Parts: sequence; C-alpha cells; structure tokens
Amino acid sequence: MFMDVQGPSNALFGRLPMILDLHYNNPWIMFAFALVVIGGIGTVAALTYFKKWGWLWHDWLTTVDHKKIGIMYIIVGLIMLFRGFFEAAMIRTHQAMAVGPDSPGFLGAVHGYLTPFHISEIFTVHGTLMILLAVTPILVGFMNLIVPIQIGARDMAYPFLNAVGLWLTTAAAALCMISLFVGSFSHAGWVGLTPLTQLDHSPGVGVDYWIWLIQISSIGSTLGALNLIATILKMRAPGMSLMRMPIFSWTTLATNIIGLTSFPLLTVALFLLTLDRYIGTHFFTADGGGNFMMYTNLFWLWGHPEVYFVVLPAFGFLSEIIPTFSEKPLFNHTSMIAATMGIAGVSWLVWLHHFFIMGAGPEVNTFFSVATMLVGIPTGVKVFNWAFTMYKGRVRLETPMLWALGAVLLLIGGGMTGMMLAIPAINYVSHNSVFVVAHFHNMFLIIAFAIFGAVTYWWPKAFGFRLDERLGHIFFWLFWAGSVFVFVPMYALGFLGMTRRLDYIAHPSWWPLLALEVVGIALYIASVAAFVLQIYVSFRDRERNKVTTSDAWETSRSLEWAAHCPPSFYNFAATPIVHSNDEWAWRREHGVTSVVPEKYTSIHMPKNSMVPVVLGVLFIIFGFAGTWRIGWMFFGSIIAITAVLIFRMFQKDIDYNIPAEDVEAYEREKLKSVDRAAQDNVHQTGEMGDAGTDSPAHG
Amino acid sequence: MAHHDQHPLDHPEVQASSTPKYVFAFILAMGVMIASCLITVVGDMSQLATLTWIGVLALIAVIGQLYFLFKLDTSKAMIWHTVSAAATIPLFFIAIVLTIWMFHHLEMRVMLGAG
Repeated sequence: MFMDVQGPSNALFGRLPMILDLHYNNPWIMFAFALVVIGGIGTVAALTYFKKWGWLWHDWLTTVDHKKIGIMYIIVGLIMLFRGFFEAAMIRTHQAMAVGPDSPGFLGAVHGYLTPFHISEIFTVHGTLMILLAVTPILVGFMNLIVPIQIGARDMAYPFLNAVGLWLTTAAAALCMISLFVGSFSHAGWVGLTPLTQLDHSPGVGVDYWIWLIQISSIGSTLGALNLIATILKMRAPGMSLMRMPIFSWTTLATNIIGLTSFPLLTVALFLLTLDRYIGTHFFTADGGGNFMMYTNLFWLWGHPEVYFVVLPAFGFLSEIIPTFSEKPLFNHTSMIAATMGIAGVSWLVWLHHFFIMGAGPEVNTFFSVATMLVGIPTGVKVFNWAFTMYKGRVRLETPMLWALGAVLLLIGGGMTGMMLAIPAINYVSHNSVFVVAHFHNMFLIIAFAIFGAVTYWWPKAFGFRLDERLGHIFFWLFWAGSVFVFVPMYALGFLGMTRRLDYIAHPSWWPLLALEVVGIALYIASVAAFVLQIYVSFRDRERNKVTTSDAWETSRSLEWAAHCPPSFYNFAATPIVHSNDEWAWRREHGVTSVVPEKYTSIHMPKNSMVPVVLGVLFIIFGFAGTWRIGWMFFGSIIAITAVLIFRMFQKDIDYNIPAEDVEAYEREKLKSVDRAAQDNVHQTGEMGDAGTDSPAHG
Repeated sequence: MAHHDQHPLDHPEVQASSTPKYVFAFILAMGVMIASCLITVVGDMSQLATLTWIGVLALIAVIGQLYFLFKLDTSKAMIWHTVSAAATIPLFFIAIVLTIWMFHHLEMRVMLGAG
C-alpha cells in the first residue's frame, strides 16, 4: 500500500537510517546547530541557576490566560522572524556573490557560497516560516493579547482550546527547527511547486517536513479562528454592540472568518498531496491521470485569502495607533468596518491572479483581474480614513506612530504595484520575476511595520513599562532605510528581467543593484541590533519607564486602556459597561476614569492545564514520525493524542471562582503599587482620591 | 470564558441526539455512496448524465447528513449552526463554480487531446 522510497528504511526507524548517508560537514548548518545548542544550554542553565523552572511551568507553559498565550505566540513568532531574516540575509549575500561566470565559489558551491539545492531549501523555508510561523503567530498573538480586553471579556471563549492552538503552532515551529539538523527541508518553494513536490522529483524527507508542519500549524490556526470568532460574537461586554466594537476587533473578526473558511482548503490540498507521496495516488501527478494545475488552484484558493488573513490585523493595528497619536477619533468608524468586511469578502474572488499565465484565457483572466482591482476600493477607503484622521489632528511622532506612517506609505507603493500586477498583460511579462517578489515583500513590510508599531504601542499594556523611545526611533529609521535599499533595487531588477529563486546570476550588469540590496541587508542587521538593544535597555530601565496609569499614551481611545498596565489576570475587576466605540476616550471626556468598581463580585476563571503542552509534544512526535515514515510511532502518536483528548473530556476540575473579597484585596494591592501621585492625577479612585476628570497631558 | 455550570447532557444540541436519525443518516449516506459508485463503474450514461446524477446524489447526501446527523434546523438552539452552514454556501459556489469555469477554459486552450 505504501510507496517504495529511495534509500535505506526499516520498520523500526522508518527512513531515519538515511541520515547516516547525509553530510553534516556544511559549516552553515554546524553554525546554526552550535547557535541553537549554546542558546538551549544557556537557557536551561539560567532557568536552573535562578530556580525558575516552577515559575516557567506554572505561570507560562501550562497557562490558559489569553494574555500570556498571546505573549508566547509573539515570542515564538519573533524567534522564527529572526531565523527567517537570517535566511533572507543568506539569499541576498549569496546572489550578490554569484554573479557572472568568473565569480568565485566557496564551501562546495561553484558560484557564491550556497549550492543550488541549499539555496532552494533556504528560500523555501524562508517563505514558509515567515508567513506561517512568524507573521501569523505574531498577529494571532496580538489578537489573543488585546481582543478579549478590548471587548471587555474575561478570557477567550475557549481558554483550553486557545492553549492547544499555541502549542500546535509551537510544535510546527519545533519541526521546522528539527528539519534544520535532522534531514533536510523542502526545496520546492513555499507554495509547493507541483510536480516538484511529488516523490519522483523530491525523494527526500524535505517535502514531508514541509507538509506535516503546515498541517499541524493549520489545525492550530483553524482552532484559533473558531475561538476568536466565538469570543467576539458571544463575549462582548454589555453595551458593546458590533458597531461599537473597535476596528482591531473588527479586523480580527474578518481575519478569522477568512481563516476558518480558507485553512481547511489548505489542509485538504496538502492531504491529497500526502496521499500522492505516501500511497501513490495521482491527484497532482504530471502523469497517471493527475492534474498538477489543480494543486496550484487549491493552494491559492487558500493562499490569497491568507494574504488578507495577515494584512487585515495589520490594518487593525494602524486603526488603533493613528487616532491615539493624532488625538482624534478614527475618521468614519462605520466605513472602516464596511471596508474591512469588503476586503474580507473580495478576498475569496481573486486567487487566480497568482496564475494568470496558466492559460485560462481572456474571459477568466479579465474576471479575476477586475475582482483583484476591486480590493483597491475598500483599501483606498482605509487609507483615506487614516489620512482624514490625521488631518487637523495633533499628530505626535512617537515610535508607534512612526511605524504606522511608514506602513501607510508602504501601502501606497505596494498597492500601486499590486494594481499593476492585477493587469494580466503586465503579469505575462513580470510573472515569476523579482518584481513580484518585491511587491509581496512590500506588502509584508506593511505588516512588519504595523507589527513593530503594535509591539511598541501595546508593550506598556502588556508589561507595565514603555519601550525606550530613542532606540525605537533608531530602530525605525534603520529598518526603513534597509527596506528602501533592499526592495527598490529589487523592483528595478524585476523590470530588468531577473527571475526569482536564482542560485546564479548570469547577467553581470545586475551586480550594482544586487550590491545595493546587500547594503540594505546590512542596515536591516543594524536595525535588528537596535531592536534587541531597545528591549534590553527598556528592561534595564523599567522602573524609570514604568506606566503609572491605565492609559500609557494618555490619548488612547479603546476599552483595553481602561484595564491596568499590565492587566490583572481576570482583566477587569468588574465587567465594564460600554457607551461608545471609543470607550476609554468617552470615559475620559465624561470624567469616569475610575478603575475601582462600585461593587466587587466573584469572578469565574479557567484553571491551568498541562494537557496542551502534552498535546504539543505528541504532535511533534506525530509530525516527525510522519515525515520519516515511522509507522508504529505515527499511529501510536495518533492513539496517544486521542487518549489525551478523552482524558481531558473527563476532567472535572477545570475552573474556579475568585471570591469578591479576594478580588477587592488584589485590586487594592495593585493600586497601592501604582505611584500615588499618578493616581491622584489620573485615576480618581473614590477610595484613594477624590473623584475628578482625567486630563491628558497632550489634550 | 464560557460558563461550565451547565451539565453537558443538558445542552440542547446533545439532547437532540437520536439513534433512529443517526442510523437513517448512516443508511442514507451508504445508499447514495453505493448508488454513485454503481453509476460510475457500471453505468452506461453520457458524461454529462453521469456527472449530473453524481451531483444530485451528493446533494442528497449533504442535505441528509446536515439534517439527520448534525440536526441543523431553525430551532433556537441550532439556528446559529444552521446560519453558519448556510453562510458557507456562497464560498462553496465561488470555489467550485469558478474552478470548474477556469478549468473548462484551460482545457479548451491548453489541454486539447488530454481527454
């Protein structure tokens, strides 16, 4: 039944004996391995020395608190982002070295320093992890961290499921890291170019790693989407009608509707590909009755909605940051909601523009071309709304606002080139050129800028102190300069005819532009250093940068700014009553900024659980066994996962109540720890000061 | 977070379970599957008639399962599930119909002779 595979294999170890044939003399892999081992040993040693294992286990790994889960999602995403960035630097430097027949070769490569197979692996893993294991987890992390507080909920609708989603994503990230050292990764591009992904053309385990890690992370994304939709629809605070909901929560809702309806498509497409590779079916083979164009069709049926899955939350970030630092309400809240849902709706109608040149003809291409251009209308509405929000506002160029403005400027560039690529005639010329690569990186940079803006904006909410402003500015300008130097030359190279995924550049006249891209990478490296330094300095000076009020920026507008910085584990001492779509701004204007409720009541909370961590470990085993075709371990892990889920179903001790008096004591303690002078000025607490109106410093 | 003070067996979705309906749904699913299999393997119909019949049988299977297995109806307990399922219908048509349309043109233009 199962396909015969090349190389050594047996029932006990599957294809693992193959790794004895692989060469581990690649200095790059050894360098990465050394980095991971040293980092791992350092972390274990530090946790042991500071006796932090219990804290790590009880407070973080087994938590079901949406805020901590959100922070862990973001940490996993940032680690993967740094790995993806390393790979980007390798691709750029290699291409700049491998120009012309006289260019030297190093480390076994004829030109440059990466062999063709190795660079194929690198751009495949770069694309896969940047989209699915870096950007997606960071965005989902922010949704977890902010949305429940922004809508006045205690936690997510399904806290346990939330933790499971995190650990599935972590399992996928772990498989990605394992593939770096045990075996190899796919060389077929992040989209899985068929028939290159078929067993005949990719007999190793790389494609299998790619399949299983995407499958595992997709299940996590689908569960997360279910959870966020249920949370937003069913758990909003009293008074928060859908039309009063802040835009970030709206974009989260739209995003997760897209996720819930599109991720299963990817799961099915990859499952059919799995059947092709494992039991010899012919869904996507080039011969034997298969149709590999159907794979491309199915992949992009998920792939294009996925583009909006990642860009809409970024638009949500901008819609929160820009009003705060313009000291004005967001221009036309209702049209922003309509634009968000409009983008989500059209997202399902445009996927074919990824393969205009397949040959479907003018009727089909025209339909999808027009549909693609339609996306420009709601996106334009958003850009104008942000611009009108800033118009006649008191714009403050603090770090989050700089990132937001950078993102809006990038959106104009990315949007215009997107309109160009929506025209099939242009697509026929530029398809598979680096112009397309520059375009979608331009779009992803919008997301990156929005993410760094969001990190700076909500950092005080999550941790109770602000990030260093001066280093934040340096980080922004270096990152901005790096983006210009890498991607403006890349646009030009695309027009000059450079195709994507090249391991050797045959055209020496392209070298100056490739060298400029390396300058951009150097600026990016400097920006990453500035970011790390910013985090370090901010931690070091956290007492000095401490936020003493719930409103860290003093002109924030939405409900999450009514919770403490950082919020209590139950978010709000009493369920807030919502009066406006800018609830915190409304409370400021009406002088009701007290964080002390009239009456305390007991709070119902979920208990921590180790089951999600156990499931995460079992899913790593499941993916590893699937990749290496170790049958007993594969089916054993499925049985174990099922058994753990059944065990969880019979667990009764999963929640608890915090008595009202404990909530009150906790809140008193919390307020005492806040600087009294700040309380007197901003949080007129009734018990600890006189009632009065909050007066923002810039207001 | 969701409240857990309700016994699982008290949930209206759980109470709607019914052995005869489950058995009927199973028999219906098996029946239409066998029928579509017979049409494909031994049927002597044109390609269009074969596809039409398989389509009709698939529709019967889907509707039967949605009603008898998932109990989707307009009752207060189930309306949310029913509306969610109905909301996927446009997406289903977009994905399937546009795909068929695209492959129809693709076949005419680049796959002549492929059957």
